[in-house]
Amino acid sequence: MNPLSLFLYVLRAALLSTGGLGNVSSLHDSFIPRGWATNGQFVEALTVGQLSPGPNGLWVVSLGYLMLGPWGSLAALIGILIPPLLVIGVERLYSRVQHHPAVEGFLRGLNLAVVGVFVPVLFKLLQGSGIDGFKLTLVAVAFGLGWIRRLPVAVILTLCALVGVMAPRFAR
Amino acid sequence: MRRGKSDGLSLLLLFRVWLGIGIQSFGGGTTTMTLIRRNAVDIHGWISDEQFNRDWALCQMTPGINLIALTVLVGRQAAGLRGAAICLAGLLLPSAFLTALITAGFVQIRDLPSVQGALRGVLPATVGLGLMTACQMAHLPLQSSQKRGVWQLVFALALLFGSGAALWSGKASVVEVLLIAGAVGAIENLLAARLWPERETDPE
Repeated sequence: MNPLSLFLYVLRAALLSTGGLGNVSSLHDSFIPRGWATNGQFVEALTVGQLSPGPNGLWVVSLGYLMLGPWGSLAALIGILIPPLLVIGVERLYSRVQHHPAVEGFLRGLNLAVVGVFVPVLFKLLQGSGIDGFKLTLVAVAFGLGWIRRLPVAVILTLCALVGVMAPRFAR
Repeated sequence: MRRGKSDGLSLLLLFRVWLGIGIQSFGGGTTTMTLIRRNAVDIHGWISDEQFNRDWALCQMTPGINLIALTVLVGRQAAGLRGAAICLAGLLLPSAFLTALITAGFVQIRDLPSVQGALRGVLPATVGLGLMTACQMAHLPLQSSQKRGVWQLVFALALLFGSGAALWSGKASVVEVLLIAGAVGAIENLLAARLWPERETDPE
């Protein structure tokens, strides 16, 4: 693993997804089986990405740092920067082909699949350290708190972190 | 609208505005989108309300981080391609630097028992928030399928769960699943357009 291949994997994952977290699944799929990153590093990077300023998609910068240090974070940043620049081309092209059924259908299928593969990846993240009632409860609580949109994500993460610190007997 | 105006003063202003947006945006993309809208439409009038909506729709279809694509479009509208580059620098450089810095700090304290405890709470929270993001991401495509009839909705749900199951079975990689789902979607839509031409007109 070197910064160049990290850049290429990040670029490919970002090209095939939209949104800052759409690339979690491909990267997890590419890095975990090869032993280039751990489940723990994914969780750490996703958390830092939520807590630090800027778009959530910058979680990849944190992952790059955890994997390869500063050069890793730079490689990851360039990798996520390039695909959105295509918007200028998309703008031109889209006015011509937007009503072509194949284009419409492809984008819809892709978007649905991005969500579909995200859920098993999340489950694998959770499974990595063993699943118990304590964790499932926190999953549900975070989901519910996020759903009602009253609390900022950083507050939800902090609350759950405090629960983790204070309940060492339940959390293993 | 001040299209193409790109003297030093307005470039500096652009940089300052986007620096503020980058630093102020924590968590969800919707917050940042609202911040960009308030600055670009309401405060500075770089872009009209209508165009902002159109641009945001385009960004959802562009690969990668939608907020970066939106920044490119709004920045270009405000001050040409140079403006777009300035806005990107303001949005990303400080926040990416801080992200790397926070990660570096985290690596130093990762082995403390209290940090380990915190992570045990944060892991399920990340998964829960991720599930919520998945629901939000699914909402738009499912809604547009529903508008096209109940069978379209059933098809969309089949693609959604089918791709999840395909990955879970371990027989296909994520990239393969994504490409196959796109191809299946394209073929289905082509067939639907042939068989029921009246449905072809999509109400946006």
